[in-house]
Amino acid sequence: MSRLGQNFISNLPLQRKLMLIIMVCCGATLLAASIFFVAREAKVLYRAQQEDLVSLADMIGKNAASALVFNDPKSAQETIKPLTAKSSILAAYVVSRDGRLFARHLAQDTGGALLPLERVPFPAPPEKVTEAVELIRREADGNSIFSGNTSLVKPIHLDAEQVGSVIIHANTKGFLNSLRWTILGTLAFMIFTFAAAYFFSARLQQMISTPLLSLLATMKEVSASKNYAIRAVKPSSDEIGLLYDGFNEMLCEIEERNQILRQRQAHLQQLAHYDPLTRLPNRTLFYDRLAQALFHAERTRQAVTVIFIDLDHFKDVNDTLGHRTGDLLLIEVANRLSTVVRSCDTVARLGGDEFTVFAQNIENPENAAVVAAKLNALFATPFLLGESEIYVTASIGVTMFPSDGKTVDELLMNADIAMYHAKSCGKNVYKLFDKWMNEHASERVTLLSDLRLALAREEFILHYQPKVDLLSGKVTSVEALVRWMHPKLGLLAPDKFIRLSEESGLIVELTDWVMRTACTQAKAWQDSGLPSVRVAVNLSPYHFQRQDVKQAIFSVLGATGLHASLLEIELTESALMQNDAYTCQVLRELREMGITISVDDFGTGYSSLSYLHRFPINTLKIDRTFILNMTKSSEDQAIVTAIIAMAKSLNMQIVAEGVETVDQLETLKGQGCHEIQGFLVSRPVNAENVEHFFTDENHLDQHCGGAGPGREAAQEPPGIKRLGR
Amino acid sequence: MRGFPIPARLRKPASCLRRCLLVALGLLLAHTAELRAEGPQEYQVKAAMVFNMAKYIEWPADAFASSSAPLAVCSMGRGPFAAALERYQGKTVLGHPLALRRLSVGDEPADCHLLVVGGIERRYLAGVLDQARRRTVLTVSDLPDFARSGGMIGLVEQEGRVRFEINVKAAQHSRFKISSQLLKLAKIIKESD
Repeated sequence: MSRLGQNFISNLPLQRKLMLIIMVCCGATLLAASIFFVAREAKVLYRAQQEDLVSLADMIGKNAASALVFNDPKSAQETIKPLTAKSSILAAYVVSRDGRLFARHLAQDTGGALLPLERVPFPAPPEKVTEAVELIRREADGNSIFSGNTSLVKPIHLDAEQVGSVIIHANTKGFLNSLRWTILGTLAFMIFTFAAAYFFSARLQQMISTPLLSLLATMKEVSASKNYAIRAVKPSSDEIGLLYDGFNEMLCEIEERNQILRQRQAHLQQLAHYDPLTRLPNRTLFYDRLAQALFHAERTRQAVTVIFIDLDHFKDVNDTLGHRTGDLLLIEVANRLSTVVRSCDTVARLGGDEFTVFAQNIENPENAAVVAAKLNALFATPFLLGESEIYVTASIGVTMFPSDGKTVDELLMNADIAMYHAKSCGKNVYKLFDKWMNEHASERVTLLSDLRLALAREEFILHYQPKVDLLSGKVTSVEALVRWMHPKLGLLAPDKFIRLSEESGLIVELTDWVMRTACTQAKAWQDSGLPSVRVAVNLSPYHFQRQDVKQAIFSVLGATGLHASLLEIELTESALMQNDAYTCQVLRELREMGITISVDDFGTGYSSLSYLHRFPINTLKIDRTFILNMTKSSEDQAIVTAIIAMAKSLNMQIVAEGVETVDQLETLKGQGCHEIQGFLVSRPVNAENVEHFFTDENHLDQHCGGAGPGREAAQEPPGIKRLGR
Repeated sequence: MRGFPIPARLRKPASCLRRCLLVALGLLLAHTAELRAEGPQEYQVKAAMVFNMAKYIEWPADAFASSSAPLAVCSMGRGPFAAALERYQGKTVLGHPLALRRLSVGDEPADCHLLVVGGIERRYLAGVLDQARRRTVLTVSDLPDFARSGGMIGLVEQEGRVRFEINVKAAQHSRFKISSQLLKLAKIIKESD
């Protein structure tokens, strides 16, 4: 119950609470004061009445004394006669010492009280009277304010001798009446004061409640409107003022934090949905927008085209011109892409050099092809990056919703596949997706997973193709060429899996394996007493991304015990071009170790020739295409002649690749070429078979004598031997 | 009264004892105050009246040597009145102890403050009163028409009760002041009546 009351009070509004406190204090004080004064007044009144009675009795006693001593009841009766005028006196008696009732006065209305002396039978026997007087005296001692009646027994003395008693019975009506009026007056005063206190407390409590309530109102306004710029106006400099200050400070803080939060949110939004480099939408936003576009297109039965764009040879740009230039190129490409598309279309950068575009309201694949062609045309003009001007092309894959796929993932995957086809069709073209591409792609996926297991399963083997000195006809070195014994597809040539291994990063492991195996083989030949023959290993351009390429070669030589002079490294031009200074440094160190360095497929790259004298190159290997066409095309003949002349003047060895006919042999001999390699001498064979060439005899003799050229030439296509790219 | 044996079981409450005493006292007093005009009791009453009356009289200032000087009450004449007064010997009136003296007719009431004239022959009365008047003595007597005859206070029987007759003039003449309390009970007598 008290808890309920407490709850009620604590839940009262502030104004009511303050008023309650004031009123309770005021009421309690008033009540206490009133009770005190009323009690005091009652005591004074009572005492006054008592004194009144005593003096009255005294007076009567004085007057009645003579009547008593001289035994004159009549006279005694006279003395109490004046009492009849006094309404408060109920009865009065004068009794002599010996119990005789001398005088008696009884008011007409005694209030129903039967007084002791009235109960005494008449004529009054003295002993009964004395007894009654004694009873009254005792009762008078116990008289109280509120008993209604009061009695008094006053002895009458004459010359120090008691001669009788005066007995007075009075009612306290008068006293009670005046007490009643006093209480009523006090109550009226209390009510008036209470009302005044109520009035003042209602005013005074506002001093505290008004500023607090106004603060509360401000707080409610802030929380309702979320407007943290609102400030409460400070009403005073007391604690409430401090509360206002604190409130305002908190609002300031919240406002500040809100602002920072909003900025950070915007920044996060930007980071989450946009590519920081090109400011194009990123993968997340693109997926989101495309999903919406597809949803919309499905309802309106419209077509959407999703286009996948991948820059050709972007890696080379990064490697040769630096990442900064690569970034600039990406920005420029993004800008150009943005100029072509309509505002309802989206261009995004998925990552690296991959861009995607989707366009709505495309009616048919022809229209999509027009868009793709437009995009392709963007790459016709060179990009001006800083000081250099470079040509970059892009391969573009195009898919259509809903014919090529229904979902975002499906469409993007198919666009990617189409793009790969564009790349494999010689790059710088666009391809529309076709169902068969998908099958091809799935083949690729299968092959890739097999490739990952191939090293562990030891499915790779090495074949060796000898290079023969044109003058002596002796074998100078053998080139190690990798083959994959696929459990289902049979023997696979490098062109089927090298690109795949480069893309998947397996090329590093594969090259390591090739080098280790080749070196082990060479050491075995040396140990078995055969003449010293170098073994040449192709290094993938990816290998040079590994900063420890030199360390890798060194450890292989150390592990196999092969002398460095018996190892030859073949690199393509593009491998040389990347990371220019570093490559030069590594090659120089390898050369110092005694390793022979060859440039493979020379003439097909499009880099400047200036590197030739900067790099420590031993040998140039003329690409097979020149040799193949040499006897048919005078231009190719001229190129071969020029290469040979240039190499000689730079003191480099010349090796002609893919020599298949005696004609070619004769022509090259005439040009002054140093060595040849090709089916004319031998196709790539296993280690056991290549040993037969490790003799002092002239392996060209048979051909020089006009014997049938290229015994095995027709059996294998020329492209099979390549390892790399 | 004090030697009166009280049964042990009545003695327990003090109030009871007190009540018993008072009742006994009341009975005793009632006896003495009983107004019967005959017998020696009549003089008992008169003696009590004289004693009490003295309390309402104010003697002239030079009447007493000090506030505790004895009040000389002289009784003249033979009879029961003087004997009844004997019992008040030594009692005090307003601080003055009573000193009783007997006088014979003809004696000078020298050094008397109050003279009670008992049974004397009428013919001597005028002389006695004259002597008393000269010496400022209050004269009291139960002789008939005492007040009217020049006495100051006379005690007369009336309706079976003893009453006062006061000759105010005579009292005033001898510079006595008689309390109004006494006067209102008394019959005022003038000499000419």
